[in-house]
Amino acid sequence: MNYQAPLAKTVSPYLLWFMIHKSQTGVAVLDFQSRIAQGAEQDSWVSVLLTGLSMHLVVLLMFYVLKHANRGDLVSLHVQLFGRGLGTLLNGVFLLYLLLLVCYQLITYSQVIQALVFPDMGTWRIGLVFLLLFVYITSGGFRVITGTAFWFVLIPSLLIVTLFIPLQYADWRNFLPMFNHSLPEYAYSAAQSLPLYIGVELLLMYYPFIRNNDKAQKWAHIGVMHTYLLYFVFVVATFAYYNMGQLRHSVWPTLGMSKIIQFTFLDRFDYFYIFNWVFVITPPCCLILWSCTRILRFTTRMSGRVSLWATAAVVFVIVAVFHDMLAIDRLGAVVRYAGTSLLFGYIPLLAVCVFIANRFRKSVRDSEA
Amino acid sequence: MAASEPLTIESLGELMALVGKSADFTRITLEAGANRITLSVYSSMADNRQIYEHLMPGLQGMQEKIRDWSALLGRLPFKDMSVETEPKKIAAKLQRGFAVIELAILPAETLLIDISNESLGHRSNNDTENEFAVIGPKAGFVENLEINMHLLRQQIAVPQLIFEDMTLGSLSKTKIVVAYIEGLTNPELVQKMKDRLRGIDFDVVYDSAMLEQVIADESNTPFPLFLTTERIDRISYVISSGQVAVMCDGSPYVLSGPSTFMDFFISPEDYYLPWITGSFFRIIRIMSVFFSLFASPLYIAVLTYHFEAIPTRLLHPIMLSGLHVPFSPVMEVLFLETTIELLREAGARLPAKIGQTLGIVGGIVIGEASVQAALTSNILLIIVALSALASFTTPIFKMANTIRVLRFPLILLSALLGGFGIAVGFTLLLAHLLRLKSLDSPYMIPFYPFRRGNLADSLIRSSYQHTTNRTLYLNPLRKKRYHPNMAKDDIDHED
Repeated sequence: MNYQAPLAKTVSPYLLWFMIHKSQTGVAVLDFQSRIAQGAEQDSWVSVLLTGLSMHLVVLLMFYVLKHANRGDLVSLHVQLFGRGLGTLLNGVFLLYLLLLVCYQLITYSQVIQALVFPDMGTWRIGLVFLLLFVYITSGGFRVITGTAFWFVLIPSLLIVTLFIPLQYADWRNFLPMFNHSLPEYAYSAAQSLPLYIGVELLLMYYPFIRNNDKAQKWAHIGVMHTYLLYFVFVVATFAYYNMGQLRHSVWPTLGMSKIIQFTFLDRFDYFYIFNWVFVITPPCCLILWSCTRILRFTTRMSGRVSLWATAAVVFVIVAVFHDMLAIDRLGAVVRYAGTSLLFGYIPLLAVCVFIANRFRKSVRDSEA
Repeated sequence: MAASEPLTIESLGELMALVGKSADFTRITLEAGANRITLSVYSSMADNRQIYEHLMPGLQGMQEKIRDWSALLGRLPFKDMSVETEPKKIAAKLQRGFAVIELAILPAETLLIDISNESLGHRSNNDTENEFAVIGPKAGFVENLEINMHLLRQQIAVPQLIFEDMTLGSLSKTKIVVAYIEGLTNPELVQKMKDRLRGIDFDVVYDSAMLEQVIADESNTPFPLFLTTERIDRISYVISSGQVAVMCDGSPYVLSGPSTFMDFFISPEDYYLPWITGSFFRIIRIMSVFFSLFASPLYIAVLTYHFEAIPTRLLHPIMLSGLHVPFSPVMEVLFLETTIELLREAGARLPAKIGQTLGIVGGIVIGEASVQAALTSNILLIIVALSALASFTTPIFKMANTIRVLRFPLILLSALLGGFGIAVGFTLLLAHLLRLKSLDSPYMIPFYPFRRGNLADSLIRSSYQHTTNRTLYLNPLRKKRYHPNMAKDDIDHED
């Protein structure tokens, strides 16, 4: 049953590592530390790690589900399991979720730029520049997106080296006392750290474009592991650098840390971080736009190019009209709830459905024989 | 193929009437009794000494005796003689300098004798002045295809080196040769290259650089997708690593492919120097590309939007040097960059000796004067001059031009959006490079798709012990280049 796209359009299995990792890391890396610290405080690194570990399970379930899809992706599986009508409805819901996700990334990043670099630049201008860039990359196809993902894992990774400078001011006693929080507090931190891991579900869309995809699971797990190890490094560095009181008042702790870095020719090293985040958010956003395009082409009669421009136009309108800070916060919350229910509710449910459908088909085949 | 064939010739008489209009066409008739021998030739294409020393003496006095071609074939001392009846083929050979002999008693047939003068109008040597290397051979390809094939066969002395020829251009009828090594080069690549060349319909093929653009996978790009070089060592290297080369008559540049982005930053000199020195210079070259692309955009971005990013002690001299400049940084940069482009373009069009003088006038006089006239700041002058210098370190001139052109969109982006614009510009550039393909093979190999085996000879040029395998993306039929000669590498090895 395992489906794979024509060979010329696929990418090597090891690139799944970069795709999974890159689709997870987004704009949330800039501010997650102060959010998660509201729960289990100095112990919340445990929650980050545990949420990351649970992603292995999600990947396992996704691979199980995808192996039984006719065309190897979620949209075809929906139609296959639930019929044309309900399947299309579910695809529509998934499309909506993806649109919210890309808007969330763009709006949050625009906030960073407006707060720290260009106070006068409208969100629509930033959104327009980004969307034109995304459309150019996405129209190159999946291989080009994978290429940008590969490069933009490597280039921002160089920034990890710069964490050593804030760590010179670290106070390792910030981690003490250890493990003195209750389970609900850990759970709160875990829930707050979920936006860090959202994006792994895009595998449901690009799975057929991975060569030998049924044997590629190893690379997906390596990608997931890369993600939570990276976050672990960031969380540990942040908690060592800030104490809890400072962290509570810091909006973008990652950027705050980078401000201590100084060279004789550069005073504001945080600019380096901010502009590097262009590289960080570009591949996941392109991948989301690409997925939207795939869904639209599957369910409507629009060609790929038209659906790409249509998606970009819709995203632009949403990004341009969102001004209210409260509304933006609510958007973040909606994305978090939707992501949680997708990763931990819907994907297991889908796996159960696939399992039952398989059993049913098998028993039908047995009774026929 | 030739959809736009300009002329059709129906008969021999028509052909002779047509070519007779040209001043360089010669027609000699030897008449005796009933029989008549006519000799027609383009004196501009043929070796005239051969006509009067060998051909005419052979024909004289034959008018009476001759009854068919065999009598002449046995008498004349030429290597290539053939009897032809079709006017089209006769016309083609006549153009290349063959002599056409007609007999009155055999009106339909003609004898074609090769007395063409191949060396006329060609220089015999090329000192590779455009792709100069201090160490290594100085001889390059010339405008003559025969000589080029000779030069290449001297370096690759195996019978497996195949030259396949074809003719291109409805007016120029240019001879094209596809060169590869049988049993090494992947036959698919050869086939692809030949298919692309056969698919061309063009009137005059002036240079292989033109072919490069016509057969390129993507025409909307500033990047050259195939390497064109005048260096023999370069072509023999790419052929021996499994690429296909295309030579074009009349062009000293030989084209090869599929090429990668990195190929354009490799100089043959890297291989003649010890690997450490060679790698060092290669890294310098690659860094200078980045410098040349991003130096002036960064200057604009920092001085227009992010001056708080510079420490006060550095900001002071920058501000002082630009104190009297009335323009915005982007105007300053555009003014200086345009000046440099003008100098470069003027230097390229002028004769070499005047070009040198121009460089001095431009570089020193204009630079110094524009600072004193407060048109630009000193620091910017240094940055722009350095980045111009950096862009000329690229060994392949075409790629150097590309880099010079690409600075301008980046300058505009940084003027509009500051550092954000530079990041967006870099992303666009990378995405564009990732989309490119050369003969269906990705342009960014070995970095993406990542090929570990090819990394040994990419950013750095590893020692010859580590480059024993051929580049794998070309899928050569023989993977091994040579034996690594590793024996003496082990500690205290005794034999």
